[in-house]
Amino acid sequence: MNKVVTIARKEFRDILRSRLLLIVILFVAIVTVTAILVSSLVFQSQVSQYNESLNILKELGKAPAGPAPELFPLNLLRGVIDYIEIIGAVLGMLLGYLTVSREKNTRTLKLILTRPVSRMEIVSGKFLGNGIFIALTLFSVGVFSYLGLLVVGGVALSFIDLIKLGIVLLISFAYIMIFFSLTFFLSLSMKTISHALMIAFVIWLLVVLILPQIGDTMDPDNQVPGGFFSSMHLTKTQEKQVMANFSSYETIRNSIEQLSITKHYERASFALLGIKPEFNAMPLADILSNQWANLLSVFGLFTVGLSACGVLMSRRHKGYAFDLGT
Amino acid sequence: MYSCYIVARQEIRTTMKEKTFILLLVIFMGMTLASTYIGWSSSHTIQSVYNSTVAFLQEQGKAIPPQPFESASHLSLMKNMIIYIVLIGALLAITVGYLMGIRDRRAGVTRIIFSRNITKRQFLLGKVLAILFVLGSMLLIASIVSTISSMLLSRITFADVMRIAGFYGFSLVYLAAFSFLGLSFALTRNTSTIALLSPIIIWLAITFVLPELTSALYPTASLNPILPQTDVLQSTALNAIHTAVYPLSISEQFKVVTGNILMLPYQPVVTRNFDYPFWLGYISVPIWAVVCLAVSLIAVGKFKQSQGELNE
Repeated sequence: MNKVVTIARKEFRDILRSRLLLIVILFVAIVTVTAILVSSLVFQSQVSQYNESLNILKELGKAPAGPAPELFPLNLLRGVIDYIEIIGAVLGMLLGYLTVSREKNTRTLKLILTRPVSRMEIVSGKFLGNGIFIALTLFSVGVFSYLGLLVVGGVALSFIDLIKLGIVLLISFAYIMIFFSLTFFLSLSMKTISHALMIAFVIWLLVVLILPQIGDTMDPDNQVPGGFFSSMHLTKTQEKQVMANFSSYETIRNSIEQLSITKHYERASFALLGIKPEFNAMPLADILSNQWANLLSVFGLFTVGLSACGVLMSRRHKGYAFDLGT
Repeated sequence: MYSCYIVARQEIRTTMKEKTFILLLVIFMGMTLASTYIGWSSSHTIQSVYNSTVAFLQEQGKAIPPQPFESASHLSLMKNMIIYIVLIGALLAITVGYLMGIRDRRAGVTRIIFSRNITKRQFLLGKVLAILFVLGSMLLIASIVSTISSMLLSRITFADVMRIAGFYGFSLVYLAAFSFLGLSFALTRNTSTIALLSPIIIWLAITFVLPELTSALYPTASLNPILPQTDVLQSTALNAIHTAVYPLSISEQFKVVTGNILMLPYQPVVTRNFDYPFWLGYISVPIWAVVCLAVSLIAVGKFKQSQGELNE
């Protein structure tokens, strides 16, 4: 266990020394604050527009037609989740690549293996060191979010909101570690290590951007600015009644989205943060039970990735993992 | 001048053999082929959904709102292509520029190249020509694919074909800028990882962060060619941010301009005080490409032939 901790500590120190990662972390911090700032300003704008309309209606002696905008503070974190989906995955890939390339470029992997340390201990140490770094980054995102909501949005999170935020960060951790495992695996198995990073980017492009994009653009509601069903003045129930006639199309669209782990992550996080309005009034246990399939997909793939890297590392004797990377 | 030609020819040949480039190219071409079908399928479905909605509203005895997509052009089938240029095309362009800049350094041949009768500017010109050739060929093939698939799925006229050509021509300008960025970083950075990641971070900022600041668009909403109604900029602060940052939001302007070329319905960002004209992108995107080319020129100027090799 001590050896694992020693390797993890060394990994963590290496990460902190890397200038590139500091740039990425700074970028993550900037986009988190940007997302909260913009969401808060949009909400304030909606409230002020509502109040203006209300005053006009009062002057005319009429009652407001719609309900007042209601603030669910966690809703303001939608942009943050979007950024974790896109940039968090890049951070994971970068860490996975660097942890292997450092050893390959400095030819230290062979040296480490001459010491009384097993391959599994090396993998465990690397996963632990990088995992702690990702966890700390996400913790900072959580703190930024809390402070951002407090300072910019003027709202403090309740205890249950904090628990929901904590669960979302836990899912985010598993999601980022999936991309870490992917690049770690590719970097170990490919002869030219820089190709591993580029292949990982291609997979990222497909899984994080293209598949969800296809699903989104096939959504009939997204065919018209502001939403098709809003333009037809239909309620959510009426929309469901109409769409019942298009179940095959919706099944295909949903299946395309299901191919992307990003979509599973997004659905679970959006449910917990109440970004889908139907989840706002739902108790936490019910949300988790409703989202079990998405949660299972994220944590399941995280476990698969972790196991695959362990198996690959322990099976290689004279493979690329111990060659000099190019 | 002959030296430029030699550099360009060598770059084109080696790029065509790069597996990563070929993989990205296959994805791009696959999505080009698929985009028209996806556009056709979603248009076809929304028409059926509208008919169902009309029948439903008639049953309920309610008024029928006008069809919201009546003004859609034949070329709206290609609307997804705008997003694929912004996503896959830009990443492919960065890869092309990066590979062209890093290959010689990684192979340790920069000293040999500059021991021959070639100046830094000729070296850069050769790379720029190769970038334009590779991207131009790729977009030419994509335009042929789009034209044929649009002909098969819709009735398009000669004017529509010209618009498709215009769309891909403008996309070349947009993509060339990202290639020049990839080239610049590949020539100047000390490690290949920083050289690749730096232009990707800039691309992420241009594609996702700036549109959020200027139009309050969520990052994933930027992936949809049909933008949500952005009439939320009634806040003074958001309005001020929009006014200051919008000219820098290149990807948004690219979408507006190409949407205009393909005759998609224009969705202006509704602001309280000041609206930028839709044609701003016709000027700012080429300026952005020229700025990136100037960055390449500075990068090659700073490039030390004797210390240019990467020891990774």
